[in-house]
Amino acid sequence: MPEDPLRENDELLRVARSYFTSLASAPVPRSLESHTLLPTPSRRTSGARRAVTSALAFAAVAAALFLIVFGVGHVLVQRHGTPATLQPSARATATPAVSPPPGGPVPARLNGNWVSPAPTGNPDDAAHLILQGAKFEIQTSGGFSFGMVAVNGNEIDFFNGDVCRIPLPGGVGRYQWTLSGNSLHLTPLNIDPCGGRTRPLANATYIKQAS
Amino acid sequence: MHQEAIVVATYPRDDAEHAFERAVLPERPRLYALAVTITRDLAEAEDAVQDTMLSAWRSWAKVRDPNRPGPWLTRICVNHCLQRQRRINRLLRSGDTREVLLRPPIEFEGELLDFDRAFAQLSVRQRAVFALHVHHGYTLNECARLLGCRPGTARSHLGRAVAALRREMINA
Repeated sequence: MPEDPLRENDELLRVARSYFTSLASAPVPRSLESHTLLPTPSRRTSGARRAVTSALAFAAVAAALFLIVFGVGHVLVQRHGTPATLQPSARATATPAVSPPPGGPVPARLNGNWVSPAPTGNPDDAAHLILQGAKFEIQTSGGFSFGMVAVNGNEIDFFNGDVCRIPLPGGVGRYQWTLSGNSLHLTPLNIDPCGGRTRPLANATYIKQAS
Repeated sequence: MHQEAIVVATYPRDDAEHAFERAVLPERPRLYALAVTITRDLAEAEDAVQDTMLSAWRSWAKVRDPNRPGPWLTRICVNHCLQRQRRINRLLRSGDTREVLLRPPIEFEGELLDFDRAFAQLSVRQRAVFALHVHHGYTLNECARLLGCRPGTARSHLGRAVAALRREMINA
């Protein structure tokens, strides 16, 4: 049995316990409180990425926006009596024309876990890309993100990313994918509006991991 | 409606997901408290817990006792804390301090400030063993299992940590 160098009445123990109690009293971040399957990381390294993580919250925000816009519009209509100029903007905000990029879920040969080795060779710095149906997830040493994908021929579009949170029709990063054996190469077709995706995806080569 | 609301709401949820949510997600505050005491950094601790959740989800099918995932999660979390600290150390060694926050997470005063400065100078493994043993109540054998080392190595880490803390606290 290993011997313990600390004794119960040790002064160091008293200070240490007081210190740890102070540390552990830090409030738990909201992202760790909410009951969502995919957590939203707060990456100090990539700027402010504190995001609302639950569908309920998103729905509440969207509903609140709708009510505000609709309510203001209604008040203005009542005040000025010119609904023709107000209705379109209210309707446009409440029901935006959001259509995902054309295409469908990733084909079976793209489904799965992909890893892009780091130039340093350090496995900790490797990037991981997980494609599953209509979802993607990217994990790098700096954090991870998730969102939706659509595959249309040789084009794969990443959108609805949790990090940049640009609603459709914006926020679409378009890449061309080429598969050679177990090797997946991604070539950018546009300037990805979610800059954080560019580094792990643009001109990157991923190797399929055995499932 | 925001598109991500639709995404989350329509995402098919099977039994594994429900079981994972029930068993693992409530552990997050405990893991966060654990990670904070090892990393001394609120953001790093949060990230370590997020990484833990990701790793846990990926390995969920292989967990031995899905009803008691605590010890398994603790080990994953400790590993992620160590990994993240190694990454910070690499950045510091390379002189790239842009991503490293060199300040304590809480404004300490007096002897707690002295202790924080001394604690910060320990290696991450020394910090982990010290925090796990002193604050979280793990025995040295359990600490060894969590860190994936021998009990003698854990004792050595603790002994060196205690010696360094005493030295620094006296000199403070």
